[in-house]
This record gives sequence, C-alpha cells and structure tokens, in this order.
Amino acid sequence: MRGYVFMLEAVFAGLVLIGFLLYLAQGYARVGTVPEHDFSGILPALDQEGLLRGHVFSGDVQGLQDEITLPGFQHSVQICAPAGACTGQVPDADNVWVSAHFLAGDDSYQPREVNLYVWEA
Amino acid sequence: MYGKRKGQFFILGALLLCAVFFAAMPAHMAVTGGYAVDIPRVAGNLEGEIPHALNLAMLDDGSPGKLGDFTGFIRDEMNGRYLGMESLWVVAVPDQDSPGDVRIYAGNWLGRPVTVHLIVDSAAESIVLDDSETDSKIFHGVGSDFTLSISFENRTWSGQVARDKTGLYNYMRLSRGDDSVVNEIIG
Repeated sequence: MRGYVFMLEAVFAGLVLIGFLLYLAQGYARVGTVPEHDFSGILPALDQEGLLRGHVFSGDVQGLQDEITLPGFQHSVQICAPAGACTGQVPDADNVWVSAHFLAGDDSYQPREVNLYVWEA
Repeated sequence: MYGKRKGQFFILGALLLCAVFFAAMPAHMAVTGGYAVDIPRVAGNLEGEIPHALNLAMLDDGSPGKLGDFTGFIRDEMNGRYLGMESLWVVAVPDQDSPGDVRIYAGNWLGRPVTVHLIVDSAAESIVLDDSETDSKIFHGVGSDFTLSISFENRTWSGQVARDKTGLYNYMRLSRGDDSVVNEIIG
C-alpha cells in the first residue's frame, strides 16, 4: 500500500515540476525547420502586386482578407498602428501561424503592422 | 500469497503515468508560432520600407525624426514575436540655410549605448548615443560629392555621398535564437 502512495506522490511531483516549466515556456514555439507550407511570402507578394497598401491605409481588413485564398486553411488579418491600436481579430484556434509585414506609410508617414494569421480549417 | 513488491516497479509506474500524461498534452496546447524562414522575409520587408520611411519623414518636417519613431515601432513589435532587432542609422541631410553645409544625423536602436565616429572628407566628429536616441553634427564647407566614413563598435562603412541629396546608411541585425540576418541598407 505504501508503495502505491509513493508512486502517486512521484507522479504528482513530476506533474507539478514539468507543468511549471511548460507554463514558463508557453506562448511561442519555434515550429520545425523547413515548413510544408510557407505563408511568410503572402503579404510581401501582395505588396509587390500593389494589392496591400490600399486596404491597409484605408483600414479595410475585410477587403485585405478577401485578397488572400488558402485552400485547406482559414486565415484572418489584423492591421495595427503604434501604441497597440489594432483592427481585425486574433483567432481563437489551436496552432496558429502568424506573419507580420511593416509599412511606413503611403503619401505621408502612417506606420502600420499587418498581421496574417493562418490555421488549419 | 503475494511476495514483496519491489520499489522499482512503483517508480516505473510513476514514470509511465507521467509519460502518458505529457504525451497527450501537445495535442491540446495552442501554439502560435512562425517559422525561422520568416527572418529573411522580414529583412527584405525592412530593406524596402526603411528608406521609404526616411523619405516620408523628410517630407514631413525635413528631418529623419520619424525614421527613429518607425525604427522603435518595428523593434517593439518584433520583440513581441521573440525576434530581436538591432539597428543603427546615419542620415546625411543638406543644410537648407547654408549651402555647402551638411548635417549628419545618427540614430541608435542597438539596445546599448554606442559612439558613432563620422569622417566627412577629412573632418571628424563623434556622436555618443544611448539606446533609442538620435543626435546630429554639422559639417561645414563640404564639396558637392564627399566621402563619408562611419564607424561604430567593430563595424566600418565608407562611401561617396552627394551633398545636395539625403543619404542613408542603416545597419540592421535580425535574430531569433541561432538564426540571424545582418543587413546594411545604403540609399
């Protein structure tokens, strides 16, 4: 009987210790090396094609989302100004991949960060 | 009846239970991540956008002040993605009130204090900067094309600059863990 108690104590001790370490490490993880899908080129490609800045500087999140098609995946876009003022939603999903693209402005200084979130459908 | 149970079976049982528990955990942990391949993409993005930010800053008030704002904005956002950014830029601006004079600005976003040594033809000046600080020095009687030398820490750059145009030198290092990209933007 005492052995079973010791076993349970060891399990709980291990859970507490490793759970604490995982809590410290949560939030961001480097995922693999060469990915099967590389989403980091989507926003730069839209910028090169002239399809990004018009939506960003007019705050048109939906229009920008509609420019992107990713079969088999869901995506959302967020446009952020300095001091954390953002339009668009961060998804509530598991294993979300995020890419950021920075813009200084169009005809005047108007800094923006565009975030593309991608997750499996 | 039953023989004495050995303690090692209980230790093994504890280890197996822990292993089963943590083997199941990753399937239920939400992870937001980006691949290491994003660092060159971000570097390419900034290689085009930083000169553009300088152009907009100069259009705004004739100084690179807003380039400093943009550099700080990018660095803060990248830190939130566990992507480190170090940047130091030097901007040469013709003095509109004194033809023949050039004002050279330096901005430090290296994350540490730095001394920037500037040489315009044979005239030398130094600018001491804290992190997130900008300052400038003026050089008098500069030729229409001049040689600008910049040195800071163990890095040196030298090139020809047109006096009557705004010139940019930007050192930038992006890093995450063992991955890093170093870029020098000349414009």
